[in-house]
Amino acid sequence: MSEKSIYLSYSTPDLEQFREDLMFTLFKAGFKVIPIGSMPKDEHEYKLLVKNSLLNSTCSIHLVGSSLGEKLTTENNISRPEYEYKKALELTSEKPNYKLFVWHPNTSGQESSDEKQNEFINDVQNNVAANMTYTTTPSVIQLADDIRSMLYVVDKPFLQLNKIDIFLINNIIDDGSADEIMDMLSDVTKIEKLTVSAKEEKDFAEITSQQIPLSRLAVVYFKESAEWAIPFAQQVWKNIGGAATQTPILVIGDQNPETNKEKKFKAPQVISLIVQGELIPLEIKVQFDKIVETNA
Amino acid sequence: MQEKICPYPGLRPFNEEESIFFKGREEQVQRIVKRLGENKFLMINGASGDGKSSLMFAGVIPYAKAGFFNAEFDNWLVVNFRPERKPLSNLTEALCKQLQLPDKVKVEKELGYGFSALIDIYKASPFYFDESGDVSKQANSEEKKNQKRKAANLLILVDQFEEFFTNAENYLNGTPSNESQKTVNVLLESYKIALAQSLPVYVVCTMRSDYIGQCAAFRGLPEAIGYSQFFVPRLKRQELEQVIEGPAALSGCKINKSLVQTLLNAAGEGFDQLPILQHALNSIWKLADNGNVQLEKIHLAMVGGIAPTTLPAEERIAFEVWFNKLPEYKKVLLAKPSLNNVLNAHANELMEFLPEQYSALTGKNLSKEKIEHILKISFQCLTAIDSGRAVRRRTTLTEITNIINDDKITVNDVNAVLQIFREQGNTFLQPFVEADKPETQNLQPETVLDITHESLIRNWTVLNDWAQDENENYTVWLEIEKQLNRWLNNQESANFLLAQGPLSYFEEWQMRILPSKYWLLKYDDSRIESSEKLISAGNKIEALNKFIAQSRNAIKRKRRVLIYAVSAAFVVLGLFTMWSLVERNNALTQEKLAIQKTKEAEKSSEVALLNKKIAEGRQREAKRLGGVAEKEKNKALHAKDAAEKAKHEALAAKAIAEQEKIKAEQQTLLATNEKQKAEAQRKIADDAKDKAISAEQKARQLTLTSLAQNLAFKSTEIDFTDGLQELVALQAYNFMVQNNQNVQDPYIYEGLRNAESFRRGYKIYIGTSLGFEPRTIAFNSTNAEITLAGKEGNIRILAFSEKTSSVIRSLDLPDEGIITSVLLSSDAKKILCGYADNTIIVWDIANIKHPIKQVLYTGNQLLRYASFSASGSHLAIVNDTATINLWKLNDNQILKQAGIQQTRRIKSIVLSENGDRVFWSLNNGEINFAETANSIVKNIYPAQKKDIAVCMAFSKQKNLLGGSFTNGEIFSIDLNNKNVTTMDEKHSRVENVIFNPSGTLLASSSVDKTIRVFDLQRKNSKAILLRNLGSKIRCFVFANDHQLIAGLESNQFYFWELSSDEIAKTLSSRIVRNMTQDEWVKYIGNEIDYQKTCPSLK
Repeated sequence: MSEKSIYLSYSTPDLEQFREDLMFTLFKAGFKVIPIGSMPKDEHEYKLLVKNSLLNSTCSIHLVGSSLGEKLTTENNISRPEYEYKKALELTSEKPNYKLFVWHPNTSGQESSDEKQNEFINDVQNNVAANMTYTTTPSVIQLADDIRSMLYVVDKPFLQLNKIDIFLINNIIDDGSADEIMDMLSDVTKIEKLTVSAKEEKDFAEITSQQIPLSRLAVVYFKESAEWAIPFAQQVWKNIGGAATQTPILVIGDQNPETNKEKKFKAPQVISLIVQGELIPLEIKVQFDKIVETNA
Repeated sequence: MQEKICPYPGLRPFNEEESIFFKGREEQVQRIVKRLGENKFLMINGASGDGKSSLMFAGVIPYAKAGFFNAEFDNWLVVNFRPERKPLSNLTEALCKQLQLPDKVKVEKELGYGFSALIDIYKASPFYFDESGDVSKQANSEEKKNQKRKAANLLILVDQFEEFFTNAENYLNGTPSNESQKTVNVLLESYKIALAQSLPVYVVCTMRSDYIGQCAAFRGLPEAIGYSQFFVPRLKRQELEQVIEGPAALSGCKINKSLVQTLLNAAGEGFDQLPILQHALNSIWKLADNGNVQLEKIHLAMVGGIAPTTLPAEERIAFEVWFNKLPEYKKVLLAKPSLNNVLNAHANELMEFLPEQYSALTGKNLSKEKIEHILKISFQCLTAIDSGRAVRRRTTLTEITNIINDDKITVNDVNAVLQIFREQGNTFLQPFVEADKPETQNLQPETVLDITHESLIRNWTVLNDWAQDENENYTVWLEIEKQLNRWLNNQESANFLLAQGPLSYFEEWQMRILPSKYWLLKYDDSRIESSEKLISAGNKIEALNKFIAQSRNAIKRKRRVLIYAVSAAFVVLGLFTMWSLVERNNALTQEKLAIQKTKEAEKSSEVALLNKKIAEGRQREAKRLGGVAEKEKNKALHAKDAAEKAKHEALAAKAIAEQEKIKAEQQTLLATNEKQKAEAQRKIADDAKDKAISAEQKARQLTLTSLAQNLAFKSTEIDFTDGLQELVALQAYNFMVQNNQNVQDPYIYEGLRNAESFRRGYKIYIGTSLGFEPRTIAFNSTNAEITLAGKEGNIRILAFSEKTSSVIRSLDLPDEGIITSVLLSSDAKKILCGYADNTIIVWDIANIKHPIKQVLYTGNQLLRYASFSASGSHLAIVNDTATINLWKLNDNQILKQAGIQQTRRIKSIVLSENGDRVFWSLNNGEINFAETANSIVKNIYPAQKKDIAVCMAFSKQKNLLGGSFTNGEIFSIDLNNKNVTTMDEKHSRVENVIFNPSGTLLASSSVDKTIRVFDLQRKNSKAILLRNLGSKIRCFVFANDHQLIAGLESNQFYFWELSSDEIAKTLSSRIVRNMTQDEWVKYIGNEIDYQKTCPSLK
């Protein structure tokens, strides 16, 4: 992991010790901490340093406590900690991956005697933006560990996949009948088929997670493999974002055998049908057309 | 719109169906699957509440079934079982179900052989397919295809493996049972064979990490754990964020980011982090219109999770509007917000609905106290203390019902009380109620109940207290069991009986707990059959009763011996007195002798002085003659010599006299000392004599008191024969009077009362059936009228007489619904009615023909406690758990005066005479009061959890607050100095207490169908016991200082004269003869001279 730069906000005197502890802990955790040195007194110089340091950082940490801190006359008398926080907040909307941490080590549990500071804290607590963390943990180690785990992103394996209309998935048990469906639909739509077999060492979870968003309709087909199909559809649905997914999933089963009739999966963005075997390709096409029509 | 499924399961683990919402553990699932695939065995360890079960049921199993677990076949059979108390049977049951094997007995026998048994069964089933096997070789291609299609991997999941250690049937004194050893053996051997033969068989166990050390008790298990285990890691903040946000996003509802951060900060790092969080989210989701609106911080505040002050301004206003409309009990539940409080408040709120729920399910009514008692015992059955920590304990409905040990409470009653805790949305107890499965509502007697998660025990304070109480009960049992065993092991020797102190302690415990054989059975860890255990428990209870009874008798005997010992001491003291008198005489004689010697010495001294004077005279004469004649010189010298000689003689005589005088003085001193000694000895002797006399008197008093008590008792056994019973009872009374003893002694009183009632032909003076059950009573001393009212709204006013009673006025209140509670004011001018729909009405019945109603309350809280001031000027009401509403009663209307809110549950309430003060007790033992004018709360008695005042009364005359604690102690508090006095005698399970007008007596009525009357001026005297009533006392009142009237459940009301003097007077006026000499000897004996019981008679 390359060394990441963390912007650690200047603190008010009451939090000086917390800042120092955190800074050294972050060094030991393998981060570069900026800015170093004492806070410039000159407002212009200070603002410039904040701006540049923020731009050079991967994330920022802001300490808030009971004191308001020094006010900036050139910024409507807002406090310096609040200024730094607002500048970082602006950055999160510009850089989607930028992360902002507010650390409020409220050790005494008491409210600030400064009304303005209370308003600021209340505003921070109640307006947590995306990519923002508001933490009250009393432990510096824990905070540094949380920051490290949040900044550490595991890269997904890259799979060479294409955009398609229908992504048909079946279990090896039903591979024969799935081939027939594939044959019938491949003439009229751009379709890909994936056969899941527990014996194979492929990462089916990853393949489906990446291919389904590139498809307009995902189809989970089953005839003899109902015991597999429903759990599979559920896991896939979860992996692609559940109700928030852009690609609907059609879970379609053959009405023969009889026991299939009870095999359904109800969830947002999921169509669960049991139909006559011969009509399955037709039903898939109907559902696909509906989606196309809706999205048109 | 499609109905939304709650993505947060609450306290229970995620199930397979809910795996679609199980987030934050993806990486862990993959690691488990990888390790299991390689090793075929995995022990999943972790702390309580860290989601081990959810990880398997909603993580690993669905992942495998979805085809993401690289294995031989595409189907999975999951043999899931908990060891409970029969591990091999449970494994068999689960295996037969999955492999569709009909003969469970055969399978269990087979599995009992251990080693390859399970693998053999699997391989012989149609779910295993071996391409190179005989079956496959003989099959045609279609058959082969079918076999392949059906084939399934076998996953054996032992959930809560720690049950191998927590149940005594499986593990006792460090040794596993045979059944446990067989089960563990077959599991371990199965994975080893699976590894060796590459079979798709996997064994997973989940276990609380606390038990890892005990695993060494099973052969091969430590090695297996060392080979393959997974310790469930603590979730990082990022993963916890997923746990909160993920399910919401998946189900299509939104959650405010600020709420997420608040929850993450509140969850902290502590124990029960996940269950508490899941429970709070479940509650929030329901409040947010089942996820149809965004989950906000206000919802968390509404379930008691955060203080409203931390909300954004607009939400704070909305919260206040909502909060102000809440019933008082609910406001209290939200008083101390925290994430843990969400669970606590939820459970407490369910308790509020218990009576309604019970009535709805059974069509019957039970008092709230009774229902709470059932609940308490049930949850005590469902918990246990293991190494100082409260843990779950699975129990059947029948076991709980047996332990409640009340003929009127059935399995259905217990089920009805507990059902609300099993309903969807609550799910504190398993099995849960499922709407489409009626069998989950009306449980079978043998259904096993279980607390969903131990976090409930740790976070529901009421339950935690119950569990600790039960543990204390059990600790007391262990103490008494030791004593009992010592007694039994020593051939029931009297030397091993209980002493007075322990006896009182254990008797009180026994009366409070009412231990039954079923209760004892709960703690029997031995491995013998249940039926044998029950017999053994029954024997123990029987032995306990015998032990206590014999200890009690032994103490009575010791008391008698004490009386004899005092008499003996008197004799010894008499002898000592005699010896002292002899000594005194000796001293006096010595004194006389000394005085005589002094006198003799004084006489000798006088003689010597006289001689001296003569010699001096002669000397003077010689001197006078010396100057005249020389002749006379020699004569004179002679004379001088003679004078000198005489002088010497006189001096010698004087010296002797002085010596005699010193001697005499010494004698006098000696005599004085002897006199002082004699006087001191006389004083000691006098003191000893006084003491002896006092002891004699005491002994005599004790003897006579004992005789009088004995006589009074005998009188109750005499048949009505020619007035003998009255004579004996009266003579007992006479003895007490003669000895200046307490005539209110319960024996004397009972003898007199019994004799008096026999004369009249019934036990108590009057007893008239009213035709309804009186629930409240008032007595008007001016008109001598009794007013009684029942729950049907019937009011009857009777002319009071000791002999008869007749209804002089009556009224049936207009029908306003079902009345649940009634209370008359002391002057009987007003009656308070609480109705089933929670309405509270006060009826002005001063004009009985035209009752005037005033509705005080129409909310949704049932009336709990109420008190009128004796003057009738004020009324205090508690109609939720913790708020007192005070009302001022004017002639025409009732005005609300104040509301006093407490944070704890109120247990009793009483107003002072003129309503200027209100007193109440809380469930932590505190007793507080406030002046009604300013409602400022002050404490009288500090919090003492063990002693909660369950009912109280106020005495104006003495400025006393009296009442009864839960431990049966009767107390009075002097409100002038807050001094607390507790009576030596106890009265358990008291429901009501009242003072007599002068505040000298305090009467208590108990559910044991007795009334006890305590004399507050004699702390250590025994209370008068009014018993044999046959039914419960519903209400009672003092007619004057020594007359008591009570209304009973049997529709009767009784009157008692409490003064022995008054009863004795009545008896004396009726007696027509005295005892014969024979009767005297028979009942009193020869030792006391005959006397006339009634001297005015012949």
